[in-house]
Amino acid sequence: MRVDEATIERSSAATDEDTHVPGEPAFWLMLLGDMLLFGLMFATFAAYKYANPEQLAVFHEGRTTLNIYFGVANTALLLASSWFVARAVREAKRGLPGKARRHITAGFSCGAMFVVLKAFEYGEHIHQGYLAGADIFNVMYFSYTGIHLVHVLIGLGVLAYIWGNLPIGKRDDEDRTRMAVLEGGTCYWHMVDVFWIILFSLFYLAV
Amino acid sequence: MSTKTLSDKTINSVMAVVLALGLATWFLGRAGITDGVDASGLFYLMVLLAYAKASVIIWYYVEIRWAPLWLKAACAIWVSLSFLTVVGTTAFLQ
Repeated sequence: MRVDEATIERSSAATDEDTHVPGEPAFWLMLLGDMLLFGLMFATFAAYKYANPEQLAVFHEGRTTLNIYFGVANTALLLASSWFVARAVREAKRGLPGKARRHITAGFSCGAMFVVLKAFEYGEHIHQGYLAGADIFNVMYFSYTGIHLVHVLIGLGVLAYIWGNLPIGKRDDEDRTRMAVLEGGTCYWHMVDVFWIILFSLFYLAV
Repeated sequence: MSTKTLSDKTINSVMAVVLALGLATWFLGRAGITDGVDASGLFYLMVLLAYAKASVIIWYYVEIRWAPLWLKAACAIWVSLSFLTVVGTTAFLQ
């Protein structure tokens, strides 16, 4: 069933009573936990970077060993994937699962390319002699981006599941469940993008 | 099942804002590296821009603007505390 624009416009006018949890409230327990984890990681990065002048020099040196173009490309890919996924949610809510599926595919492809580029980046970095245990910067670089990479891989699995289980506009219980999974899964993907945006700024850009 | 959804214009505008903030971060970063501009002030600004981008995506793409108060508050607290913790730790240790 296709939702017309008039219904969307009426529904989009937010009122105090008309609030909506994207996904399921229980899912947000997990996601907020993830946000807490990454928040602590970002603070730990700052604590180690500015612990003392010698440590700061290690971080400055470490930043110069990273290939910023990989970082920029990966940022662009995740932003593009977020754009596609946002459009997929819109199309699914309009009762257009075919269009939504195409956007999910595009978002998934961008995420998959991120993983491939990350593998090449790790390979180049290691080839240059910077192993995970080389210094505190590389310990943090590999562990932080590695944890993020695991989140990306999980997110790709979630997107793949969503691709095969999109709501079709029937508005029955099964469709409502599919919509909740779509919203929750895409929220997770957007947060993975958010974490990368901050990681990229801290590791690749921030002097 | 909520039929609230982002318009095409909103989806594109959010991306435009995030890209603009990203470009600003890029040029600030290059200024710090190549022109020797005061690094500490730049760091705070770049972290601020990163969290601004994060906030825009959370507010619109994650659809928190339509969320109940508890979820809006949780996300706002995360953004604020995380940002303040990073810059606060930096300021304290410098």
